Amino acid sequence: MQYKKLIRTLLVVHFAKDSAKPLRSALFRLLAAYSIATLLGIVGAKAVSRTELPPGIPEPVALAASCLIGFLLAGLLLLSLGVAESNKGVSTFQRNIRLMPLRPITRWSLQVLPGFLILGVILTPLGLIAAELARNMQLTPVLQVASVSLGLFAGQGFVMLSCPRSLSGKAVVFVILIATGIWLLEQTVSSTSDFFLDYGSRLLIVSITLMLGGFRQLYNKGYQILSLLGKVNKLQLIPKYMPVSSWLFVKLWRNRRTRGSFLLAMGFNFCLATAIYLKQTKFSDPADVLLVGGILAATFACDVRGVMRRHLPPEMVLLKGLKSIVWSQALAVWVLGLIIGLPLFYALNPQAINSGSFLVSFISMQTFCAMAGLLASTILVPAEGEVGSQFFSAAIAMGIFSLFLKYARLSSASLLSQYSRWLGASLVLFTFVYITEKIRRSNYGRT
Amino acid sequence: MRRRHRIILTINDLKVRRSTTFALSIPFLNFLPGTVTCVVGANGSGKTTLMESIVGLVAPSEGKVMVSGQEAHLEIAQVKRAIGYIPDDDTWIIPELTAIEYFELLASVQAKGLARQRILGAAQSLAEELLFDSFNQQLGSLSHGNKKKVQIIAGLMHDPHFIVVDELRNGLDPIAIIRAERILKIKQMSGSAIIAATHDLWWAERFADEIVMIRRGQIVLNDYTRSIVQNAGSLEARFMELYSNAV
Repeated sequence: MQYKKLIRTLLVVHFAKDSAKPLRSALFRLLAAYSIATLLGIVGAKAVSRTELPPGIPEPVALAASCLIGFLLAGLLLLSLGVAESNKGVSTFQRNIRLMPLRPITRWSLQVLPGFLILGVILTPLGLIAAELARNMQLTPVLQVASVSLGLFAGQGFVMLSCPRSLSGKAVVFVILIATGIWLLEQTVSSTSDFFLDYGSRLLIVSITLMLGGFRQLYNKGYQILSLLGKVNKLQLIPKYMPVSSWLFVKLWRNRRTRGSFLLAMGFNFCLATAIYLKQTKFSDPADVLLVGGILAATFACDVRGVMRRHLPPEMVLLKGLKSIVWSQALAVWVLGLIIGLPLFYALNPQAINSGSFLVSFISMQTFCAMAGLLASTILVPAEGEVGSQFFSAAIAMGIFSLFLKYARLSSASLLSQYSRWLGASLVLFTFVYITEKIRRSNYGRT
Repeated sequence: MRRRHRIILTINDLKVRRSTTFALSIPFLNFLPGTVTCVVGANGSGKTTLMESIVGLVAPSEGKVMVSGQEAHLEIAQVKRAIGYIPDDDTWIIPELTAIEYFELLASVQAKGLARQRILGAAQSLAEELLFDSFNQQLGSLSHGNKKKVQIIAGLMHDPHFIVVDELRNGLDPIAIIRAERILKIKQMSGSAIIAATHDLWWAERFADEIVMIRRGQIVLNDYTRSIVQNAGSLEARFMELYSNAV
């Protein structure tokens, strides 16, 4: 009875925020996520089965690669969701858990379960594809799936580690780990020595497995409370050198989650740009690579609406109303989205045939992605610690993005037409953001 | 009357740092069964920090809060069962659940079988006393006053030894205030210790047996209410005296 009610509440709190029929919504959303994931997995596996793959890759190397991919995906996702912050436990349910007479194992399970459910959504397609790949390459499918799973859970374990404590610190260590992993894998593949081949892969798998220690740390320490209050902010509310109209920029920078999300997106983009610059990687169409920056801008934009209350935020009442708040949000995600994409733009600009059109292409893509993220954020309003809502808003943004790429037929269009499609779609998304807020505003107080 | 005299809540050399400029520092405090202690002080003086330390939500930087020999901030089920917390803000209730679902959840983690039914029965009686009947409404859609009633029921339904209340009267209507006070008095008579943080000096003077006054994280007064009133005329007069001296 106890566990049934706790799990029911956990699902409701993490996956059905502000729903009239919360349990049904939570189950429906999870079911939809798993169904789509399975479908993606089947499609991916079919595509893999038709692909010609190089045989003869040694099993340990393939296992290390699977493990690293799992670790990379889980780490990227959970870091961008800011789970590290929610582990400090400020969500309503976690506050309640702390007052409940529960066993440490129950308390711990309630903290890690939302992450497991989300990683399960990634593991479903990834596992299916890994199994098919292994079959195609005459490797052991079970071992490959196990290796991907290990990588995924190690990614979650890494996010839970108490050192480094801050999200930005974790991101830096994560990038170093991934870079070292890729280097080690490259060395292992290119080396002809059996010794290196054998031990390089093992070393990589063991290093990633060590990250599972985060689970143990959370069990030993994490369920205890350190503080429910944040640090006292001694800075001025709006610094004198900034115009008052920049209040949302200040708010986004002051908010630990949005600041972390911005720095994380910026950091990943910067690392990618540095790697492209140092390795002098050439691309046939550099504009396509710019999409990575767009995706990062969208994941940041997914967090923006969550800094304010879902219904009737005071900013809407105290400042200049609905139009002003929507406009401020759009401006903030647009400007910050462009800043996030800048490193990649600078790294790729020398490869562009025409710098002017490359710039317009960059601006239009970033605008669209920022608006897609803002719309997803406006629909679900994921607050701090609501892992499910954060995940689903990122999924919605990616869904909008994928649908646009599929139906906009950009490849057959002229450059001018491409820009107008990106920008036109951005305008449509902005209108949807406004309509969503307007509906929410006019329905406030109705049951 | 139930005998609960063996269970004592003690604070020893407690230090809680919340920022570089503020730290709560309590050398010694004892809360005995059957007493009402009001913690008073200005805004930001450390009342809520003290309340959260007592219920084990804040780990002390130094010192200990002990409930019958066990540290309050360690996640020990026995300690959690002994404490009931009625917070001041609405952020504690789970907005997606209905009131009955919330009470059922709390009852199911507190006890099993018949004991669980007894706790649910207690929740029902408390709700009747507080004139709360919105059992099937989602907590997020309740009014501020009704949310407060839910928090009172949630904090008292498992019949805790220590009842920690942060601003009891906030949001409640006059009838609910009288009834909530009556419930707490009954709990006190049955042996529970009540620790209440408040700004309302008039209420504290009327309601409490003992007063703990905090200023900038330090205890500046710890005395019986009767004694304070006899010496200073009223708690308000004593409060103004201590605070004006400090300015």
